[in-house]
Amino acid sequence: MENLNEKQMEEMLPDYLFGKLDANTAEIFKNNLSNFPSIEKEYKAAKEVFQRIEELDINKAFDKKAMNLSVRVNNRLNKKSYKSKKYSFFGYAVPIATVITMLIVFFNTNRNTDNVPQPQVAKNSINQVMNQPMITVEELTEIIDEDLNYTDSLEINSQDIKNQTDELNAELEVVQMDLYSYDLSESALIDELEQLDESEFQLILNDIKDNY
Amino acid sequence: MNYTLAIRNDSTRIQMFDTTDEKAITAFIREHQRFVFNIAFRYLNSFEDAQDASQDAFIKAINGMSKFRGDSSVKTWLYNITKNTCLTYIKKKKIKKALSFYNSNENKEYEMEVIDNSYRPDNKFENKELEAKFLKAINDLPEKQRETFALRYYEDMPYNEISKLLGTSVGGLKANYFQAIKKISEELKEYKPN
Repeated sequence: MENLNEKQMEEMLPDYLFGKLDANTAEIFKNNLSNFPSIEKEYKAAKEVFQRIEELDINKAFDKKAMNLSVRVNNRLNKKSYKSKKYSFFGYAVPIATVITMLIVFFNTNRNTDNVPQPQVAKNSINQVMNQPMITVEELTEIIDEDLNYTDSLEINSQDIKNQTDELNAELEVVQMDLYSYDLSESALIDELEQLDESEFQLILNDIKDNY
Repeated sequence: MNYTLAIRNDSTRIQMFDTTDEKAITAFIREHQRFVFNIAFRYLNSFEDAQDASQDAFIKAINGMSKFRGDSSVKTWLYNITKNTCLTYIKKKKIKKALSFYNSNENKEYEMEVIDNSYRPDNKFENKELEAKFLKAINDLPEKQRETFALRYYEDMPYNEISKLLGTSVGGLKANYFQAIKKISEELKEYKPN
């Protein structure tokens, strides 16, 4: 008889329990079982529990729940197929149609500018400018002469201002000379004042009051 | 797109599949619906969510059949699709929950649906209770143990196949399977056979 160790017994237990071992191996397991009391105990406990579970036939519940799976999958595949066909058509047709429409609009706009409605005010302003007659050479010459005369007049005025400035400078120079001459004759003036009598001095004083 | 694909099934038979043929789709789904639904239920713990996720998974599988090269079995391929679908579903649900679109009643649907098993004529309260506790016991298992238990117990998948799916050694899977059986038995030890 082939002897098995505890580990080998443990590994074989489930398959022996569910009848998955071949007859020869099952026989070896069975013969060794009594040598391992703990495994024998496990085996008996498991056998009772799984015998009870087998009665439940849980697979039946799973089968029932999974029963219409094929129908549902087929329905979803059909829907998906329809959608993919639908979207594949629209996926190409819509962008192509949009591009074609845009191109048509673009070319028509550029070719028929006159047909494009414009605001009336803007159109009238453009027409006014466009309909004005061309300017003649005589008119242009006249405009240039006017401009030149105006420039000459500006030059004359500048000369007047220059002359006036010179005159003012000359007057200022005279005043300065008088003041200078006064400074030079200051001592002589004091001498003159000392020589004035009272009546003459009063006349000069009144004259100053009247002027200031 | 209309194409025909050869799928190597687990039993090594060749399945011709036209992805626009409703009958072929129906046959394909019926063959694998319990498997896909079970995986979805293990991840989502709700019959309604599992139904939605199973539909999504099958649609992804059917639409992505051109990418299936037959390197792995159909079940491995479907398992990965379903698992990824469920993980995405959980993320979406979390986001929805975070945005307060879910009310507290929806969180109770797992318990409500498990109890509502009126399809069985010999329905007894104890059976309902046992079923609910059994499903809860599976749900409470660590992920690797839960996956191993579900794939081996419900789907009868070979260990080498599960090993590829979960990235665990065959020895590790057997140990996980034993631990899962042990924990479930302990949780349900009060229930004796009729």
